[in-house]
Amino acid sequence: MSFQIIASIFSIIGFLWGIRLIFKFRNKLGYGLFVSITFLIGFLFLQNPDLTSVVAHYLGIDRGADLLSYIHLLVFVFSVFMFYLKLEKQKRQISILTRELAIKNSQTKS
Amino acid sequence: MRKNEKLHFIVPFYNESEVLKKTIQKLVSAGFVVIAVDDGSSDSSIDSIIDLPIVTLRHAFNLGQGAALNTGLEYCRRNNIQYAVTFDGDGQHRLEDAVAMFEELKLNSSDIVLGSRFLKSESIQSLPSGRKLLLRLATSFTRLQFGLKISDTHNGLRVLGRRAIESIDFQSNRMAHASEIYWFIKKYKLKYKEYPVVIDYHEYSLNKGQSFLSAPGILIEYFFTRILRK
Repeated sequence: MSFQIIASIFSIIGFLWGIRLIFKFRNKLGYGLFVSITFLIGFLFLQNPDLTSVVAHYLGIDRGADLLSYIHLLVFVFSVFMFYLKLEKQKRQISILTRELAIKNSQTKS
Repeated sequence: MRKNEKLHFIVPFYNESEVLKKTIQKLVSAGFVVIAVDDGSSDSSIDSIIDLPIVTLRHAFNLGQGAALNTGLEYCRRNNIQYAVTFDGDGQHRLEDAVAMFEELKLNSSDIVLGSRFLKSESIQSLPSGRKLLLRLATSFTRLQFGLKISDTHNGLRVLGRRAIESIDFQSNRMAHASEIYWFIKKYKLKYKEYPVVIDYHEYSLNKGQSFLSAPGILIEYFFTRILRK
């Protein structure tokens, strides 16, 4: 199987995952849209690699390969950001739990 | 629940076994109620104060000073405590300053009185110039953001009245809480006042304090706190 076929299957799975996020979790609409659109663009570029050059020229970038690098970087930064956000939310929940335990087990000496 | 009008000292600490007992002993001897919050210390800090007549709250693991302060404040909220002081466990704050700030709070019917090093030249003489610059930058950032007339953002000595105790619910676990407090002051229109205080810098507290290297971390933490706030 060529890389194009494997990557296309991967893109379709990613796209469907994004669609699932949109319809299953109402609070993840933005994230679901981001995921599905990213994988859809990836799929289109895989089917027609010359399309990257067309879009790149339209955006004022010399080569299609450069455009892909920029997109990759943006997606990576966004993913790290989302991951950090999730981590922060979990840290908060742990803090609340720790606080509750601390107050519940408070010791008063007089 | 009956109102508790006594002044309560919230003392957060993390691995302060060298100085903690002395700091808390001084407060207890003066007749104040102390709420010591152990932020998951791994040394013998807690053992050093185990015999003292105080309230002890223990975090199962280290979360940060903001989280420890919030635990103390939450305890105050639930026990209807009317006045609280946030007082560092490393012994750099002066009891007489806290008492004077409490008097100021009652005199002006303020919601919160904030200690400031920059209103008293005596306090900043021993402060290294790098630290001074860092504090000035942090203060400018806060002033710019909230439009509040303040001179010292990262000063841990604060006296809070009941309205402030109820309003201030830190979301920043670590040092960004020192900037976050102004968000609460602005949002809830808390009546605030600054009061000149002296910070006793010694090698121990300077080694544990913030440096330029901690500034980016504080900014990132503050940024995410703002994003996650509902």
